[in-house]
Amino acid sequence: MIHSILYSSIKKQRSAWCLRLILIGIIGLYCPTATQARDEVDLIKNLADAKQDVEANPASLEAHLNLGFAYMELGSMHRAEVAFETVIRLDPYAPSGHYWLGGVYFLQAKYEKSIDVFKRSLEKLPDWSAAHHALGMSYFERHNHEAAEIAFSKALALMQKSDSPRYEVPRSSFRSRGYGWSIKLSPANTFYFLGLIASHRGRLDRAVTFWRQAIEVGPPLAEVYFELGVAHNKAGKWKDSVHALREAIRLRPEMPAAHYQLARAYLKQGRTSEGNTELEEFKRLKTSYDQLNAQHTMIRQAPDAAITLFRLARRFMRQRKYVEASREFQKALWHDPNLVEAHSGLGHAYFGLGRLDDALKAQQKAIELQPDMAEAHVAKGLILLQRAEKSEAKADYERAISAFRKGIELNSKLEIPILVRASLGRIYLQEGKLKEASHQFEEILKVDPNSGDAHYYLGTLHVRRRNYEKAEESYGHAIKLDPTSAKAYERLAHLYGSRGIRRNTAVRLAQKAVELQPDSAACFNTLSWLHYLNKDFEKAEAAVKKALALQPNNQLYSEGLTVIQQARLAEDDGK
Amino acid sequence: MRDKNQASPFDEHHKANSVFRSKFLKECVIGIVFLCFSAVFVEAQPRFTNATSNSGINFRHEDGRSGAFYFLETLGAGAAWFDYDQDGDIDIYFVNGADLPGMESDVTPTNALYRNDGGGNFTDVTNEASVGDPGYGFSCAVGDYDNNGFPDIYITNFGPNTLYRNNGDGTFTDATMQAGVGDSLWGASAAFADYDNDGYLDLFVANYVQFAVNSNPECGAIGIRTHCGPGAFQGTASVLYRNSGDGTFTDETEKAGVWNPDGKGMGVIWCDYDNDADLDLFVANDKVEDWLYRNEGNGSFKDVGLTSGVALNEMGAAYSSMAPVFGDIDNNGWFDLVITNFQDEPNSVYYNDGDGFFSDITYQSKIGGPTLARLAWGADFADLDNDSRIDLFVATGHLEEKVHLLNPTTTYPQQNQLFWNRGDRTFDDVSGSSGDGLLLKKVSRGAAFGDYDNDGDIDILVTNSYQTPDLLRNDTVNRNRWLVIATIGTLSNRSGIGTRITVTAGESKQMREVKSGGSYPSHSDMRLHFGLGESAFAEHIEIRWPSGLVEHFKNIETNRFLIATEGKGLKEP
Repeated sequence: MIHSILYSSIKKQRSAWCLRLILIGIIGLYCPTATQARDEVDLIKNLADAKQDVEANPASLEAHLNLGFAYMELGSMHRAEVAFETVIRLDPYAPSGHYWLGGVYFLQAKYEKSIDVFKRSLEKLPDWSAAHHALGMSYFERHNHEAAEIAFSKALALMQKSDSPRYEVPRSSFRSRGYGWSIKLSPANTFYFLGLIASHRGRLDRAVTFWRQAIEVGPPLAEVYFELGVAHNKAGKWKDSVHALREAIRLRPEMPAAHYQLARAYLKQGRTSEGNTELEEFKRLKTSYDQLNAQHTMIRQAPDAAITLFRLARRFMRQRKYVEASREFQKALWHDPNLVEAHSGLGHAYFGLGRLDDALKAQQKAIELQPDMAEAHVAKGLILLQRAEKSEAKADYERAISAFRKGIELNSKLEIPILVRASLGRIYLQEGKLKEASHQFEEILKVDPNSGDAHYYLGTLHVRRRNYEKAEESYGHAIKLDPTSAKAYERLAHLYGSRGIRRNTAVRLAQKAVELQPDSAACFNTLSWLHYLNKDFEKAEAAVKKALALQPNNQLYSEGLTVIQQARLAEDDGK
Repeated sequence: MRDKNQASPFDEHHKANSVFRSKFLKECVIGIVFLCFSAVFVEAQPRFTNATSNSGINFRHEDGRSGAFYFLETLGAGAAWFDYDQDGDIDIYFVNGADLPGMESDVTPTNALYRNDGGGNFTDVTNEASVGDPGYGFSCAVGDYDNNGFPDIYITNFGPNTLYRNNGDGTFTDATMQAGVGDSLWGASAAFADYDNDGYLDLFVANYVQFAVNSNPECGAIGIRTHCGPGAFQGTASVLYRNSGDGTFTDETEKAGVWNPDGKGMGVIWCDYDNDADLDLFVANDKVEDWLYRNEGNGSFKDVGLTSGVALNEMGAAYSSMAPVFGDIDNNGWFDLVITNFQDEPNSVYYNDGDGFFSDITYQSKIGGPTLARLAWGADFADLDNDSRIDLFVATGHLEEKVHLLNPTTTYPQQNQLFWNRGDRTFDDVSGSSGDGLLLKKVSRGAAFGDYDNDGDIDILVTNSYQTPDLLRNDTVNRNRWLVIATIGTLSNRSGIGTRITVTAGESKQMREVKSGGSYPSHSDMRLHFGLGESAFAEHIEIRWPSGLVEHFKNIETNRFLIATEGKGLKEP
């Protein structure tokens, strides 16, 4: 019964906390969060659901467990403690309550408490291998290697029994060496820790034996290969060391310590170039992790600091780690629901994840809290534009334009993304607001002088202004920068045709356009028109028919076909 | 002076064992072997007695605490063993803190000088000597910078540092301004050395962080206010002063290639780690990678810390390094390195491979494990039982008074640690069985080493934060013999700092270098001490002076104090 509750709880949480833990494997050596959060989790929604569940089922162990997990996800360890204590109060014999309470203490580096709780957990269920393992980790953190070894050995022995209950344990965000809390309980993981203990006792040979056993039983763990590499380095076994460290890096490329040790192995062998390359990679990764760890330290020191979480989230955004960013934004919002920048940031993160509806909601929330937040309006416009382009919803398109305009109106100096400027430029162009359109395209070119699109639209703009020389120049730039731009070929061809110059060139350009974009009715139509101007009616008719084949209901093309056919008849009559 | 050759109380035990052996030899071979080894082990083990109470030392460290948790309150202060009056026994200089905003002492705290009167008695001569610097001090280093035959003192402060020139008549003169060494950054430690071998002592000052009392950030955990860690502050550059030879110094930091504004220097030590006859420089930084500046022999240095393997731990991370200590742990002719670190970080042990690289043997040496649970500060190698192998003493103590609330398994005061060298690159933690001097639990910071009672063994002076210091007298009882050699440079700097002496006696060949500063943030007796086991003679003594002169001496009787004068041989004081 106990097991079924425990497992059902886990099952329910697989989409959130536990599944993530299972996926992660052992935590990054240098920075616990580096490898975490690979799935998308709605932390605040989870919490709301869990609270609702507790209200509906106040006596449900599972509901309180889930509430605890939800709080853990948000980094609110104290509230998680309360939830797990409630589980214990409801059923003093429920090992899961003890176990997770121990986990929360562990995550807060309260090892004495976690040891006490895990021991109590084992009183209820002595054959629970995961609890022995977790107890071992607590002792290990307390440098009580003897007790840790006993606990890990018991865990290992129990893991051999198929009927021993398995249970994942949470990760650690603590400790300098960053061993973390093992995630997927496996003999390999336990062997890894037994090796560490032996190593800390100065018994390197014994440690190496344990790590080799870890590799034998699998699954492969980067940490095990790393420790083996270090051990081989110490023994001067450079070949073995390089092999092991490369394997560690293969399993986890962003593991600074492995690059550092690999550099040492190379340098010691006189392989200076390879050593220096690894050192540079190490420095690069270390700088990144050091900065991240500094922020984590700040968060630990001030757990309610929404602003610190917000900064961490922004850091993830800069790295385009949208999942991690969304988690931290949510944590920030949980601490301060009125942190408008976090709502907007969350919107950006969701946008990065392609969750357009959620992104829109987040930006709208930001606007609701702060109606004059120009950035949120522009971001909202961008989301709507994206949605409009996906679904061709005109309403979204119009709302996007409105949002862009609002954003710029609120802050004319706003740093606007290129995508938005391009959209705005097109809109202004369509509306005939040539000055405004020109400004947008010129701004794009300041940021990205190689934007073929911007040159293309500037060409169109110059045509509107009847500045044909400049238009020709702009289209020429667009083609040069993007030789696959059918529309640029087509427009330049059209320009020559309309001005009655370079007709043969114009035909060649239009032919190039249809080659590049054979599904473009407009290109075929332009080609047809140019043939018509050259009085090559047969080719003109063939081309316009292709346009009509692509767009059978296009009135313009139908009329064009009629004109061409009439011209052919007239020509025949003349002959 | 105690007779080092007196019968050991364990001799009786040994005799009893002999009787026991003769009676039950065949039946109890294993047990007897065990007992014999136990007896030998116990006999060899160092023993320290707390000799502070009747010594006349009534100094107490003040840190100016007022409840505002100023960062600088936590670092404590050091002390120095040096013979300021050149009367043949080493005296003590204590560095003290000062009042901080919110604290006004009745008597202004100052540094203090205690003259060794012999017989284990000391007298406070601070005022007569005019060395009562009232600055907020941390460390001191000693060296005869003007080569006048009397050692001078340099003190690092939070604020301008101070240089006291020894006048040779029992008094000192503040020569800071004249010498131009009053660096005003937060100096954590300093060390004299003649890095360019021009016969004049230069000076390196390790600066800590940028901190101002009027911008003291609040830090804490689980609702408990604590001092901030180094991460809360910007680092700052250290300073290398070159002695111009005319009583003044010039700042050569950038020119010499040792300028780095990211440093958070805590400890500094000079040592010729690569055996190329010039002194290299190691700087221990707090949570920033450590620097090993290899002396290029042309007045400049190159940081080879990262490539040599001593800048970071195995994980490629920086520890909170405190004190760097060099010593040849296996007498193979290469200096190895120990760095003390924060709690939950092991003290690092780096074995010198002799090819420019170091191997991390932290845990293999069996020093790593026992040091995880302590916050370590001052330390040094010394052969504390004269068995010809250097042992390691480490001063420990936490920096948060309420640390037990954050971590119930630790305490603010901690027991210092003593690691006994087994001779196979491993050490035994003998802290719990080395006499009452090692059983004290205090908030220790500095440790200075020297034979203050001139009985041939090394005693230890431990400074404690916001507490009185401890004078740990070495009362080890065994038949082991020793040599203590003082150096006087003639071509080289007068203190002989950087001189390397190698003593061959029996099967051991040991080397030491004369150094200034070193153990956080303290200065030890500059006389070189060699434990020689049972060797009645040192078959060979080699003295390599910084000037390049190498002298050899043969068949020197042991259990003696000697003075080596450059180019003039060895003689008794």
